[in-house]
Amino acid sequence: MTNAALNPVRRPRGLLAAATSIALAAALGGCSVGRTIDYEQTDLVRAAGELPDAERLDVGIILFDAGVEAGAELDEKKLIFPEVRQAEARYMPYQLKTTMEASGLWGSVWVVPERSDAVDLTVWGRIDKSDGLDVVLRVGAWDATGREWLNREYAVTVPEKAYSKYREAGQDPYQSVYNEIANDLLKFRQAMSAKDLATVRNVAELRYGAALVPAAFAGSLEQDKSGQYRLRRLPAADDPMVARMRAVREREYALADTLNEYYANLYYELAKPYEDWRKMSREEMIRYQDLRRSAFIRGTAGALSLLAAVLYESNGGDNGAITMAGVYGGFEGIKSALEKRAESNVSRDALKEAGEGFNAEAEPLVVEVEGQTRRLTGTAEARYQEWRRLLREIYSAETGIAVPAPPETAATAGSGTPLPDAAPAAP
Amino acid sequence: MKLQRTVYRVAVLAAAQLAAVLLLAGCSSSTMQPPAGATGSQGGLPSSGGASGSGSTSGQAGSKSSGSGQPSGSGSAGTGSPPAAGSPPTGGQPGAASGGVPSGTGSGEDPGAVFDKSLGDFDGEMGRERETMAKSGQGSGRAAETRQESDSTAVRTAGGAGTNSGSGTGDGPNVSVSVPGMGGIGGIGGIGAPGGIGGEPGGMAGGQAGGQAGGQGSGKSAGKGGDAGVGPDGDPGTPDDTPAGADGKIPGTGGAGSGTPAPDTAGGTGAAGPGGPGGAADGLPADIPRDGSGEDQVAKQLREAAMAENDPVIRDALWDEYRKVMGIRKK
Repeated sequence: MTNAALNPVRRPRGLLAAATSIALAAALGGCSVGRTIDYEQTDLVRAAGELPDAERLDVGIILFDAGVEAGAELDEKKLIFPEVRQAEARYMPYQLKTTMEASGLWGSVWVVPERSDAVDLTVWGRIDKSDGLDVVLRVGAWDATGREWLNREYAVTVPEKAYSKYREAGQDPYQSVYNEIANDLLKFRQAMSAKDLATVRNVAELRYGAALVPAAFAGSLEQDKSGQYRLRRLPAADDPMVARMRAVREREYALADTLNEYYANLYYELAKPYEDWRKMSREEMIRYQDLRRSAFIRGTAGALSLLAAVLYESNGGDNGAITMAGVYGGFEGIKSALEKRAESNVSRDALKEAGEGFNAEAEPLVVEVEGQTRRLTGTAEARYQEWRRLLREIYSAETGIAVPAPPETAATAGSGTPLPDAAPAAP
Repeated sequence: MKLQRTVYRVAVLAAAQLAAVLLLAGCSSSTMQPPAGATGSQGGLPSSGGASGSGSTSGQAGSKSSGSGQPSGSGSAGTGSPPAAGSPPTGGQPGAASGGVPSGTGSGEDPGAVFDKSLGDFDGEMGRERETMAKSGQGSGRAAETRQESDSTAVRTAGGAGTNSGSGTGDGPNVSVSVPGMGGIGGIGGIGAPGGIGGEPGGMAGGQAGGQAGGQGSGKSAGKGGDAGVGPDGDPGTPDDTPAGADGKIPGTGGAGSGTPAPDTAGGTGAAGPGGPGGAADGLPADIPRDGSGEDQVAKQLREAAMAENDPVIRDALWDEYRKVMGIRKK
């Protein structure tokens, strides 16, 4: 009589342990993990022809939220470099601006330091992740009436070809994300009627006017229960106050243009080192993640192998070779996992070094552009207060209605509304 | 009893294994990371390894969703209170009149005139600001410059070691052949400094192919090639000189008409140019798309350079580079 007949369970268990050991050995041998990046290129939708001016909305892209507190220390675990993020928070909106401009489907597109009523559409984003390999942005957009156009997360794993030197000039390695955002905005805009677009433009103008000369324009707008603005009436086309308000608004555009020159400066200064960093970071990040994954698989396989050997023996396994293979495989797995972890530490150090290098390069540029922004907005703010006062006086003189001086505020021209709180919120 | 025996056997095996590991580790310590450091620093890391990226990302997004740390904006006319998280941009509702009187300019000047003057002053300030930036080469004016720079960098690097051929001695077929080695992309560099070398077509072509170097050597070398004049790709004068097959895709000629495939002497990719279609009416090889669809800037410039090129060898090299850029497999 065979052993199997006497103990039908025993031999299968032995076989199971042996099979487990072989599988683990195979896993150990093959756990140098490679990765195929699934990537779908998103092309930018461009204008097929000339678009009527009335349908071209002016866009203000607020500097992105860096996703880290200003002045924060390096996040060793997530390898987030605060200064790099601060630089990205200025670089990314500019890239989005150039993308939207390239589509030919929008009016003027500016990067603005804070929300402005001078634009028809406000876009804001937050950088949740950006390491050259993965980019995750949360982006929201609201028009002047307060209608939300989009508020969603954009995530892309960047392929190697995105860093190809043969790609089109001006195409960022993250270009797919920017194209996707621009296309989504366009999709929403295309769903709106010409009348809706005209309303957005009118509301934007009147909100600006209401912030500038409340007495003259506040009555033209009303807010519904959901907080959205509606037109009550339009001012007369030949109203001199409208002309003055538009004159001030033009100055706000001039300020935005000038500020954008500084952002452009940062953008072009940063373009090369930023791309170099992202490319290097991408490669190291892949290596690091693979090594960590490999270390985990090997360690787990090793532990399981040891466990299998113990179980086999405790169940009366009498084949020493199987036990030996299990124990040997287990230790080899654990040893190998330790080696992989050590290797991953080298990769991590390389990532850290690259990040710190770019950090040092980006920091002075960010500080400089911030300084210029503060100087210019400070100047503009002083002017804006003066214009508000003068327009109030003119309005009183022209209408005979006494208008009180509003409380002093610290906002720049047209920034009469708080930033969209909804940007970081879940849709 | 059985369990004891098992544990004993496993322990013995483990000890033996451990000894072997330690022995091996001691032998190969020069190539390994210090194990103490490795294990120590790993202690605090999550056991799930590095594959937990997506989880942490969403966690971060969630934690930020309260809107903390966002830039604040204050209403200039501001009676409106900031909206609750999740609401669209609102607030800044124009302030209502609530007592007080107009302050007046206090100077007796016409507010309209002061307003106009103030606007003018602001225009002046902004104008000066922009002018200063433009003078110092800052701002968006750099866009064209930077783009041009990046194009020419791409041009230079794309040819690989081929740029060395710019200093070719200019004698014989090998030199001519080396020009394509630098990749027709060199020709784009030549747009910035087209030739400057020689007045004859061959010399000019060499200057283009010489890229930014635009060296005399390249001019000379291409001059030779130009003189040799094998004309694939629709050179009207010399289609018969090309040993092109029926399909016009037989590898082309050496620069001096040697008829041999060009050795890649410059280390670049421009080996033998393809024979052209034996003089297509529009001068385009058969595998080049007529409408230029899918071209990027580099490819476009390559196409223009190739179409304007008189020297067949250089032209072939330019088309080769074009194919590379466009991912067209050479037939």
